[in-house]
Amino acid sequence: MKRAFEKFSIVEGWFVGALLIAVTGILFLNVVMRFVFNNSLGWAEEFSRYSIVWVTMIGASLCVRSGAHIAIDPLSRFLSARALRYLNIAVMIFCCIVCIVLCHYAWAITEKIGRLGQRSATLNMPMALVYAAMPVGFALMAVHFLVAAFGMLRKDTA
Amino acid sequence: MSWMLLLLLVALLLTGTPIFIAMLSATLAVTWYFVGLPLEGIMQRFISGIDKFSLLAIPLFIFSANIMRSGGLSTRIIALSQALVGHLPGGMALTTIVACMLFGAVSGSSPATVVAIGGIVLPALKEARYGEQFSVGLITSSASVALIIPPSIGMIVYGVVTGTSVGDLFLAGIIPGLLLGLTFMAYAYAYAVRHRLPLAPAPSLVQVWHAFRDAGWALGVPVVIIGGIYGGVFTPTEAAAVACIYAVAVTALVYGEMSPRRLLDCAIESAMGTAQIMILIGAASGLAWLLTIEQVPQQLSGTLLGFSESKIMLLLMMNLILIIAGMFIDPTSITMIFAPIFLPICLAMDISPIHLGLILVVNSAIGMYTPPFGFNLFVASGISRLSIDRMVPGVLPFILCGIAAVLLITFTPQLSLWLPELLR
Repeated sequence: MKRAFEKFSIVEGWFVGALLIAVTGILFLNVVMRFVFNNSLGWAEEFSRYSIVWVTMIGASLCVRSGAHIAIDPLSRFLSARALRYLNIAVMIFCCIVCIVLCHYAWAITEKIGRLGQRSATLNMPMALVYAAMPVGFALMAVHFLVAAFGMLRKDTA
Repeated sequence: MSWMLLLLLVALLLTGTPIFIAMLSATLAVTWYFVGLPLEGIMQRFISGIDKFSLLAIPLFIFSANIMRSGGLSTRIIALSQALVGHLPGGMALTTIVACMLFGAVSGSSPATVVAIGGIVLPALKEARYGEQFSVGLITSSASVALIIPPSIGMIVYGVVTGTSVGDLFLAGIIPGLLLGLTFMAYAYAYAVRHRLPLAPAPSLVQVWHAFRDAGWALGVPVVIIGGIYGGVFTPTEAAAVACIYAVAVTALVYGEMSPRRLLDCAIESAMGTAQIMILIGAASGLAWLLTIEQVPQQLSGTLLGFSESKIMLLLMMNLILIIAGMFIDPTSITMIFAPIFLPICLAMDISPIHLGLILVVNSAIGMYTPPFGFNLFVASGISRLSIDRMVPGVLPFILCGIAAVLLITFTPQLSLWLPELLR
């Protein structure tokens, strides 16, 4: 289970890394095209914007895993190690619940956009595919928060 | 309603909830309980906050800085700085500041600069007999200059939120960034003289030339960025993409320190850095939407304007609010929340939006190294193993230097506006 989870994070990493490299390459190509051939790729902008939406949501899930999200810890010097650990577990569970709620509403809007059949201007791609980054990202974040909470709980009993 | 929102936000932040979750959950709860609008609307704002072409410059500038750092640029920049100022009194400290400023010209993020420069310089500072607290104060504060010297992530966010030209903001940041760096250098110089730290021998001209030749390739990046944007060759976002490709070319072909595997690692790291910032932009867009519906920015700016008619008083109040906010939240969230509140005040008071952008960014740069929650301090405590409590005496003089610089920048608009107006 744990190993499968590790593997999944590696895949998440490849996904966002490859997308970022692709965006960089395509935007660069676009500049070259404009100068050398006086012609630019109309879809480069859309592709890059949508890719970065996905990079943000999946990258955010990786950040949950490694505890990299920006937060402050004012109570850490006033609480005992034990109390602090319980607080952290409670916060992780709270975050997990919030992500589930966010996922729910994100899914609602994705589903609505899909039903309306909205498509993007130049790529003619269903906009629901872009919006889907939100429910997917928040669902993954919810899982990572839950795993982090369990990890801390286990450390507590050990 | 607004009090409830503020209370929820503060309570959540105090428990150590990640800032984006705190913002999103407070927005959700208040919209649901008090406003009664469909909550999908928040998600709509969240995604349209992220999905903007001008914001693409953020991931790309993060990426180019990571490629440069991983490809061996940091050591060369430090070597160059040392060749330039290493033999003066306080040489190693001055080297650190110059290196941070140079690295700031290829990177737009200050925690990244703490890692890139601090990791290498800290042991060297210790060897040169600088106090540990001074050294950590030095690195955390000098790294904040990276947020002001272009390219700057803070200014991209400000430009997108207020519709100000990012190119103009970049140019406007050059002189204030140098000014802040010089203020730090003056203090470091005085510190070294007072503590009678030993002097390093002056380098020969040949050594200086070698250092220049090694680092020179990388220093082409700021030239490409500023020249390209100003020559009308490309947009800031495209400039960032060109900087990435240039960085790959230099680190792979000239330095020979970049491999595909390493590039992928850089990309993953940059994607996470991107997510950290972009998700805050999304969350703050949701919050800003709620605030606008409730007309909070209008009310707040009205209150502030009614409080005093003097431009000086209003500017002082804005600085105070920004410094205090900067102690608790990150530059991105500060810009997203406060820019819409302050902009109408500045327009009413005939203050240029570019100047306001500089005030915002310089204040949040100071917030980056102000205890107890400055983000640079967290990063530095990871490298130095000094707890944040023990950093306080070391950073305090640098905070005072920062405040002196920010007042100068606030009350001398020409410092920010001269360059963009000159080149217009």
